[in-house]
Amino acid sequence: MWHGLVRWDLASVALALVVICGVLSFAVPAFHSAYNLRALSFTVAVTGVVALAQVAVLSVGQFNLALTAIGAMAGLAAGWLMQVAGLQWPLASALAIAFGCIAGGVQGIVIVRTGINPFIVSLALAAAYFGAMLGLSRGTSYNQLPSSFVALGRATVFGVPLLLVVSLVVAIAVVVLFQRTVSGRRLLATGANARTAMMSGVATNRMIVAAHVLSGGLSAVAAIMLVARLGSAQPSLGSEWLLPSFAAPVLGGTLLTGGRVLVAGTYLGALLLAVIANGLVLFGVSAYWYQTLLGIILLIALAVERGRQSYVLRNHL
Amino acid sequence: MTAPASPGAPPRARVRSSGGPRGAGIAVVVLAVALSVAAPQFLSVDNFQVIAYSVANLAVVAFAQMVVLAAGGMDLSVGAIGGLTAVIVGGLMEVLHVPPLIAVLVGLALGGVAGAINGVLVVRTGLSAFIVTLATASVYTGLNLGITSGKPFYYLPDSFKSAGSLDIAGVPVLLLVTLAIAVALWFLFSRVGLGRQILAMGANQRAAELAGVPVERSRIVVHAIAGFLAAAAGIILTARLGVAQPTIGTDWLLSSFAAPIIGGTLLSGGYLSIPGVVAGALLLTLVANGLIQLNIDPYWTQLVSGLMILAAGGIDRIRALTVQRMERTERFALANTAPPKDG
Repeated sequence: MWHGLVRWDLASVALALVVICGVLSFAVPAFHSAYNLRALSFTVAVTGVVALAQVAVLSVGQFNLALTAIGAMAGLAAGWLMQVAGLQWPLASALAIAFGCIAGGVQGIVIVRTGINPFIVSLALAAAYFGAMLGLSRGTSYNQLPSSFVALGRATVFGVPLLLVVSLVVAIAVVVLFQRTVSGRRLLATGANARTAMMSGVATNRMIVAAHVLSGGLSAVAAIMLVARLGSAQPSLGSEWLLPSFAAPVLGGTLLTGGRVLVAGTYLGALLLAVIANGLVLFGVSAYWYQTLLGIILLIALAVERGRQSYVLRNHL
Repeated sequence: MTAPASPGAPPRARVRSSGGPRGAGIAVVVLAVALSVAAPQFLSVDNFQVIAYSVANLAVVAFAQMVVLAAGGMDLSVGAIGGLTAVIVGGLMEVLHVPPLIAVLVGLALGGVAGAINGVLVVRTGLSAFIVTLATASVYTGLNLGITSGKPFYYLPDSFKSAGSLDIAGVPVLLLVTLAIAVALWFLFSRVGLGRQILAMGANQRAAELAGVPVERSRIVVHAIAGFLAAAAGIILTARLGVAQPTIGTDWLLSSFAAPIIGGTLLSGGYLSIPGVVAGALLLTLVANGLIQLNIDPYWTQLVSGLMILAAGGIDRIRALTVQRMERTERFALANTAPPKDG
C-alpha cells in the first residue's frame, strides 16, 4: 500500500488536493456551492490549457516564456477580427489560433537555426511580441464582441461549463498525441535525450519547432477561451500566466528537463492552484498574499517530488 | 577587465577581449552621435540627467544578474527582491520613523538574505536556478503586495528624497553610488580570491570543485551578492522617485539579462565585463531615450529591447563558437607536434 502510493507519480498532488478540499468543505460550506464549483471549473479550464502550452515545449526540454505575450497577441487578434473586421467567431478563432502557431513557430525556428540559448530567445521574443502587440493595438481593448461568442463563455453542457468541455477535449487530444502517435513519441525522445534521438533517426530540430508551434497554438486557444469568458479582449490578457504555466505541470510530475509528460497530473496541478486561490478568497484572505502562497507551494511540491523520487530510487521500488 | 590580446594568450582570452564590451561601447558612441544630430533636445542638460538617473539604476540591476550569470546560474527574482526591499525601506522610514541610513542598511541586508535564500534552495534541493528563482520571485512579490496592499509609501523623509536629486558638479550622486558599486565589483572579480572562484565555478563547476573551490558555499554567496545588488537598485530607484512604489522591479527582468549579454558577459558563465555591463545599460537607456526624443510611440520600446537582446544573444553564440573553433585548432596543432600516446 505504502510502496504503491510512493511509486504513484501523482501521489503528492493528489494528497494535497484531498487534504485542502476536505478542509475547505468542512470549514466553508460555500466551497461546494454550485456557483463556486462553476467558478472553479472556469479557472481550471483556462489554466489547464495554459499549462498544456508549457507542457508542449517542456516535452522537448525547453521553456516558452513568450506564451503570455503570444496569448495576449492572439486574444487581441481574435477581438479585432470579430469587432473591427466583422468576422464570424469560428473563423476569427481559427485565424487567431493559426497566428499563435506562427508566433510559436518563429520562436522554434529562431532557436533551432541560430543556436542562441533558448531561454534568451524566448525572453527576447516575449518582449518583442508584447511590444509589437502594444505598438499595434496602442493599448486598446475590444469590448463589443458578438453576443454569440460571448454566450460561449457562459454556456453549459448538461450543467458542465462548455469551456471546461473544450479544455478537456484539448487535453485528450494532447494525451493521444503523446501516448498514441509516432510524432508524440519523437517529441518525448527529443526531450529525453536529443543526441540519442537524433542518432535513432528523429529529426530533432523539426520536433523542437513542432513543439513550439503546438505551444503557440495552445496559448492562443487559452487566450480565446479567456476572451469568451471575460467578454472582452485586453492587452493585459495572460499577464499572470507564467508561473502557473510551470507550476501546474511540475506539481503534476512533468519533468522540466523534458522527456516525460503527464497531462492528467497537469490538470490536477491546475486544479490544486485553483482550489488554493479559491480557498484564500473564501477565507477572506487578501488576494495580495496569493502569490506568496503560490511560490511556497511550488517550492514545497518540488522538494517533496524530489524526495519521493530519491526514496523510490534508494529503495529500488 | 579584458585580458590582454597578446598572441600568446589562450584563445578564450583573445576572443573575449575582441568581443562584447568594445562592441557595446562603439554602439553607444554611434547611437549618441546619431541622436545628437537627429534630436536637438538630446544634448540638453535635462536629458543628460534623465539618462544618468536611468543608467544609475539599470546598471546596478544588470550587475545583480551579471554576478549570477558569471557563476553559470540565473536569478529571475532580481526585480522581486528590488521591489520588496524598496517598500520595506519606505515602510521603515514612513511608518516606523527609522532614520534613513539605518533603513537603507536594513534593506540591503534583507536583500542579501533574500538572495542567500535563493542560493541555499538551489544548492540544497539540486533544482535548477530557473525554477527556484521563479518560485521565490512569486514569494517576494507576494510579500511586497501583502505588506503594502499595492499602495506606495509617499511620505518619505526629506533627507532621503533630497539624496536622490543631489548632484555634485552636475553629476547625480546616485550615479556616483553606481560607479562605486562598479569599482567594488571590479575589485572583487579581479583582485579577490572569491571572485576568481566564482568565475572558475561558472566556467566549469566540476573542475572548480576538483581544484578545491567550495562550490556550494560560493553559489550561496553569489546569490546573496545578487540579492544585495538588487536591493541597492531598488533603493536607488526609490530615492530617485521619492516614493516607495510596490511596482518597482516589475519590468527589470528583460534588461537585467540584456545589459550583461550586450556587454559581453557569457550566458554559459565564467566570464564577465563590468565596463561592458555599464555600456549595455547605457545602450538600452539611449535606445529608450532616443525613441522618445524622435517622438516614436513608447509602446515600441519593448519590441526594440527584445530585438536587441536577440542580437546580443546571436553575438554571444558567435563568440562561443569562435572559442570552440580556436580551441579545436589549438588541440589539433598540439596533437601534431606531441609524440603519440599509447593505447
